[in-house]
Order: sequence, then C-alpha cells, then structure tokens
Amino acid sequence: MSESGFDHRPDPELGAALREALTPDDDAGFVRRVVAAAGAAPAWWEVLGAWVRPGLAAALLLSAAAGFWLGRSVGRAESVTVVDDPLPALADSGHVAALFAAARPPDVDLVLAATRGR
Amino acid sequence: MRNQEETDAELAVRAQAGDREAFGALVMRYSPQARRMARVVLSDPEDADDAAQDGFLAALRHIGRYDAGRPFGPWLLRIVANAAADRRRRLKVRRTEELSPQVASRTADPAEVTDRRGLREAFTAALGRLPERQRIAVVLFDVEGYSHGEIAAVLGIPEGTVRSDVFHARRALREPLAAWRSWKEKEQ
Repeated sequence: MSESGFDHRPDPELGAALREALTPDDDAGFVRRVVAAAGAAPAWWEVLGAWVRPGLAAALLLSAAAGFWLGRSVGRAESVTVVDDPLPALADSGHVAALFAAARPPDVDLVLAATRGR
Repeated sequence: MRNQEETDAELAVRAQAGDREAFGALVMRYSPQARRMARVVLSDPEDADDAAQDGFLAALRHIGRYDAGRPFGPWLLRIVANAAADRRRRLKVRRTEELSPQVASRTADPAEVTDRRGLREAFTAALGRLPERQRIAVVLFDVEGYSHGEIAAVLGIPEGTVRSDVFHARRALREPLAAWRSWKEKEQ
C-alpha cells in the first residue's frame, strides 16, 4: 500500500489480506443452497401462469355482471315514456310552473284546465 | 464446459429466458464476491450468507431488468448490498456493525496477533470500525478489483467520494495490514 493511501490502483497486499479475512468457506455448499432455493422459487412467468385461470374467471364474471347491468339499464330506459307534448302530463300532475318551461306555447284549454285543477 | 466459456452477459440473457442452469452458473461465478459483500455489511457469517442468498434470488426475480450491455458484477453486488442492508434493518443491528465486545477485546492490539485466525479477526474488527460505505468501497476496489466508476454505480455516489472513501479506509487498515505483513514474513 502506498504511504498516502491515495493510490488509483488496487493494492494487492491489502486486497489479499482482506480477501483472506472475508472469504468464507464451503462455497460449493452455498451455491447448492442458492440454486435449490432458486428452483423452489417460482419464476415470474410461472407466477403469471398461475394467475391466468382465476384471472380469466374473474374477467368473465365481471363482463357478465357488466352485461347484466347494461341490459337492465337499457330495459329501464325503454320503459320510460317519452313525452313529446308536455301538456297532457302537466294536466295530470297539475304543475303550472312547468307550463312556462315548455318549448311550445300550450293550448289555452289545457292552461285553464290546469289552473282549475289547483 | 459450456458455462465457463460464456460471458456474464450471455449467461444473463439465457437466465432472462428462464434457463435456471445459466443462473446457477452465474451464482457459481459470483458467490465469493456476493458473500464477501454481504460480510462487509453484516458481521455475522450466517446472516451474511442469508443476505447473499436473498440478493441472488432478488437478482433472479428482476433478471429481466438487467441490461446485458453493462457489466453484471456491479448490478448484482448492488442488489446484494441492498439485501444485506434490508436484513440488517430487520435484525435491528447497529449501523456501524462493529464486532462483539469479546472479539474486539481479543483483537485490541493487531501487533500482538500471531495466528491466522487472530489476523482475520483483527482485520474484521478494523473493518467493523469503519463506516459501511468505506468498507464496501475498499473491498470492491482492493479485493474485487472494480474501478472507481463501477463502485460509484454500486453505491450511488460520485466517483470522487469513492476515491476519498478508499483513501480513508486504507489509512484505517494500516495497522492490521502491518501485522498481517509481518506474520506473512515469519511464515515464509
């Protein structure tokens, strides 16, 4: 080692001493242990593969639920009466204020009928 | 043998494709370095080996992220260092990770150490008194032969800091090194 310690090259003497202090025994045993653990640990594609079936089942269930919900929404939308002319409905409900919100001017008779109904 | 002729990058590419034999060859090639790296962070040899194994398994899980255009060693050793640091945190061991008082007192004076085991303990004790980053820097530079740039990549610090860490670590290791040198001379 250089006296200053500020050498840009590795110090072979210090390296050898540290290597001796830090290098553990039985490297072959360690390698066997890691390789066995790696064999036991599933790879990412195995993990992914294991999730394919439950994933597909969940996706099918979700799409069935979504289809059912959409079907019900459409059915309900079809059952709603679309009132082109608001006045017959107004006459039934008797809400006079709605007469002013109508797009077309109401028939006079209907206005009178609504007023009388109150 | 085929594995011995292949480069790290070739083995890593095969490991990325799911070849466990290629991964095994990488483990064989890098286990001494990985175990030493873990030992620099964790003084207990069993904890260090567990951490080195954690590091290898983490590397296998994330092998797809390895860029075959770059050196494999620094990539792996960074993972091992992180695994060792994680284990140390889990074990709630002190950050300085100094040796136990018994070992430290036995090795208080490296000049008096005369046997191989004592020298190993003197070095381990002297290393344990250094900050972790300096320990890693000096071992990667002087033992493993990595460049300052590669060590900077492993530690995530500037190259200049690596140089400074190696310098301070070398200074701190002068005493046990002198004992080791005189012991070697006597042995010859």
